[in-house]
Amino acid sequence: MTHGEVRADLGDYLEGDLPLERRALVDAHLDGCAECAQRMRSLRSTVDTLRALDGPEPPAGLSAAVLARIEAGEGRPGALASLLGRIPWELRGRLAAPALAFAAAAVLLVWLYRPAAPPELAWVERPPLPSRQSVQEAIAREESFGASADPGTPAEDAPAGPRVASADLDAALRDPASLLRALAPLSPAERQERLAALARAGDARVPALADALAAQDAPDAKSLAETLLRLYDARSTGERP
Amino acid sequence: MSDRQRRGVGHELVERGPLARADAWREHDRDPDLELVRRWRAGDVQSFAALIRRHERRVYRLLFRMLGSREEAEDAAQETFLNLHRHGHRFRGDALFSTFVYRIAANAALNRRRSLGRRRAHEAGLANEQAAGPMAPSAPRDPESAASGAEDRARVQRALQDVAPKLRLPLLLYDLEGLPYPEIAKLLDLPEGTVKSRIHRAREILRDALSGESR
Repeated sequence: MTHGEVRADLGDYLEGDLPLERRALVDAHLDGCAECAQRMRSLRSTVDTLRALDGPEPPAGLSAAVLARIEAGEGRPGALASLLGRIPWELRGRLAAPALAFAAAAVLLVWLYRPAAPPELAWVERPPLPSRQSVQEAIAREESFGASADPGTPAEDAPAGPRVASADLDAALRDPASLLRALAPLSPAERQERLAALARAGDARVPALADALAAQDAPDAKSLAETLLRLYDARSTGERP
Repeated sequence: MSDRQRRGVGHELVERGPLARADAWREHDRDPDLELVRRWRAGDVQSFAALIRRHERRVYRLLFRMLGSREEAEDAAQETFLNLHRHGHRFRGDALFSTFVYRIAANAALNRRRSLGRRRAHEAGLANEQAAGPMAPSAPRDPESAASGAEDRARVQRALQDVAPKLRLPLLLYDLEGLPYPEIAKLLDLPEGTVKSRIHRAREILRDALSGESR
């Protein structure tokens, strides 16, 4: 076997995943090649070092902090999702229709008692952001974190997108009608991009905004709210929207 | 050897190669979290609290090794469990609940990395590791060993920063968290072969980085 072939097999060799005949060939090569044998030993040592790593321990108040935030209303599931979550799986098919009707009635009531629209806010043009990616695609797009490579500047590597989206999220929560007016003239793809940017802010404000959008008096308010929620849900769980 | 979380009863020890872990597991029919999940979905908040306590250590550990900062790891851990609370209804039982939790944590880590400056994360990680707080019970107790242990951990954490996140994540899930290949593949939505090759590449990069650290 060549050095390259052995090195390519080292990972499977160390895990015992090589077929016996192939393993025997690697063994024979290692017996006669000090360089490859050293490479194998250093790889094994690296893994041992990594596996001996443990901790750090989480902060003592982590679970209490999470529960307090849930108590305060964060991280709550959507009304329909919460309702479905309490129903045995085998009954969901039979109860889906009345559950949807209940949710629709709830949205109608919120819409009937909606607040008056405040003055319109101005939307500043942002550079287009990538659409939501699954975990697999997000991993594939990650760049090397090599210390030897140019680490870049914080500004370069901390794009303004997420911080700007967070500010947009606050503005939209204060005036969801203004968000709808800003989205109205856009193409479907541009709307998707804008909503994806808001979903990427990635916290409990997003579902609250979706609820507020759904309550607005606009023809596509509900569909935009559902799109926003779908993008946020998919981003949180890594599932495809 | 670090303490690995066990995922249920009835394990099977599988003799593998030199790096085969003594705690190599295969998937089980019974998920030990299912009963708590059922009670939580039925409205029992204490069951959700128990699920947090059961998974917070592994979640925080993974996030710290991915993000390199205690503060970021804590924020991401809270975000993970809030998202778990919000999206718990999406767990269908077609994988272990712990896989579902890891997936949400992985997303929290990757989403956060996009907004963290590389240099800021690296420096924060070094500062935090040097001022190490409570570590696992397996850490040595005498001052000299404790000091060298902290230095070793800092050295490995520095070297880990040389591994690209897309490689570091499967590496940590496999070698640190002890997840088997099929579970990592399902978690990351990748073929097993890709998972294996990424882990192998990550190990080689880590080895080179550690060699550079010792010079």
